[in-house]
Amino acid sequence: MSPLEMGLAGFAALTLLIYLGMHISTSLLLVSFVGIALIRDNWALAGQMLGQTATDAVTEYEFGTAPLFVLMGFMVMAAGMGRDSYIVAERMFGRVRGGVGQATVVGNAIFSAVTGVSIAAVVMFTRMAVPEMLRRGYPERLAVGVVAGSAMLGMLIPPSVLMIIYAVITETSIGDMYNAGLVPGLILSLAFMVTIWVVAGRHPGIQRASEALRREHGDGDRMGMVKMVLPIAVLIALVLGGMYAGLFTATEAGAVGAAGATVIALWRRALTPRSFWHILIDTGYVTASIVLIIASAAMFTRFLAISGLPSYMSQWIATHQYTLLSVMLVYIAIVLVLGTALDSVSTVLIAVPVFAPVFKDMGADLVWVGIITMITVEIGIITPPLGISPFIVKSTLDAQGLGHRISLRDIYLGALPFAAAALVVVGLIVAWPGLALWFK
Amino acid sequence: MSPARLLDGLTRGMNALGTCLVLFIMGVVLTDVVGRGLFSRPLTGTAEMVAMSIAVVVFLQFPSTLAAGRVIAADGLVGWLGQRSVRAEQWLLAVHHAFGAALFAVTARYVWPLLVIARDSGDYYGTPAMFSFPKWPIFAVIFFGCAVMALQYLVMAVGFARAGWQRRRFIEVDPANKVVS
Repeated sequence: MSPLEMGLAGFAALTLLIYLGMHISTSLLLVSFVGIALIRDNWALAGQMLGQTATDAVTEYEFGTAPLFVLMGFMVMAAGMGRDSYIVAERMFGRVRGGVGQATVVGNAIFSAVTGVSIAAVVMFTRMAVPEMLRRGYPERLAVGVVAGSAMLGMLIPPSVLMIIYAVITETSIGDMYNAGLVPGLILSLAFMVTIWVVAGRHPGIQRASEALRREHGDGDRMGMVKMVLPIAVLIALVLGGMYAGLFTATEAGAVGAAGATVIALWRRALTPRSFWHILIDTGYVTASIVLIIASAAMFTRFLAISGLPSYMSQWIATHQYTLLSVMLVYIAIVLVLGTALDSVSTVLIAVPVFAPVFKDMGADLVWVGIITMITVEIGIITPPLGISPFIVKSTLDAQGLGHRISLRDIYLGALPFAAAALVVVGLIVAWPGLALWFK
Repeated sequence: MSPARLLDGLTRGMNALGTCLVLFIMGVVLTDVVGRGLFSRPLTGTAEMVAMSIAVVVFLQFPSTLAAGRVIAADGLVGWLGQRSVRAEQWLLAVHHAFGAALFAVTARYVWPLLVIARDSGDYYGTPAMFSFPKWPIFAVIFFGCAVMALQYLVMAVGFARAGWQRRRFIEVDPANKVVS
């Protein structure tokens, strides 16, 4: 086999191994190790590259973002700020058509601005918002669709762990990705709100947030609201504000955010020594699993470079004079297909290392490509057969005793309008790259 | 003490150490930010200290992350298989873990010469007169982490194989814990 064919075979083998459920890091390392050894006919060389990857790929200042933003997210959860952001959003949007749904989207958007991991948000919003929507006569599918769909905001609105992974494999700056994510994140939130508004309009049985509800959440208690809004506002201002103003690097923003969230959690007496230790251990697990994948992806990128596949693809596209738009459409289609059956991290790891060099050669801004990738990948996480976010919604509903009313199929169908809305947003960003490059 | 128990204690100890370093990273970056912002005195070597600590944290955490079943995989097929045959599911996992053991063993084998070179050459991170730190202690942790990771993978591969033989599950993992997105 020629090196090029080895590259293609490696690509196929990687997809297969990941589908088979092998650890993503092991799949990447195995394919790259065997691939390099066969191309160069030198097993010792392949081993040396493994050793080098282990010692080089991990020692990066920018990787500091991973534990810091993960720690911040856990602290924000522990401090009960997720619940706060939902209640605040409900106060703002409860009386709009489809109000509880709107509040779920806005609450998710706010919460996403202080956390980088969105699974926690899915569990929390399923617990809080779904029963409330059902009580108010929302159709089941809309109620669960809103929650599963708005989980997409988590990866797009900074901080975001998936963006760290993308930035590292494409060698773009994490800070640039974070800056780019905000405007598309707001557009996506708006698209979701319009979707709910339209769908809710077809179900006149839905009640808006009532007086009773507002009393339940302490309407009129202005001090209570201030106590809820202030910590979140301060954190967002510190972290996002600090980054956009150019005061902090992404790593510094992470440290400030993590420390700030810890102080708020302590202030609210939400931490025991035991829970604090558990949060730290969980942070370690998430960090280790992410960095393990990033380091393995670095090895895979070396393998692809040795095979010459990306540069061949660039040449092939150049000789056929394909436009950036057509390549982008093909890329989006591939990511969508991969995303329906894989989780977001695997999809990024398979699609990005091959296409990023191609886009770079065509003169496209990799930050723009990254934002398109984030939204497209996230569409995958709410589509069958393996969209993860509907699974989480389902298992949370089961735990609440609502499982008999709503099937996994209902959740997928309910999330469909949101997937469509997200696809429209992808189209907008493809057409107007400026939307993603606003702060650059 | 059995070897499996010994390994368990070792990974827990490594985990605790790595966990403390997460706080260290936060402290270092904060000191730098506050020092620079309020007193115009940044902390020299912040970038190097963070970079080195990240490597140490993750290599110390790898084995316990694996033991906790938190290494990321797309487990759609495994779950599907598990509903039909626990034995097939556990044996597939045993094969996956065996490959993990082999790869980390190879990695450890090839980190060792780099460690020896780093120690003999006195290579360092950073720039002299500003901040520098020798590479070999970090490489030693990386070597150690890879070696323990290989052992942990091996122990788990055997565990999955035996559990499959007895038609039971070796560990139960909450799927929500395995996902980053």
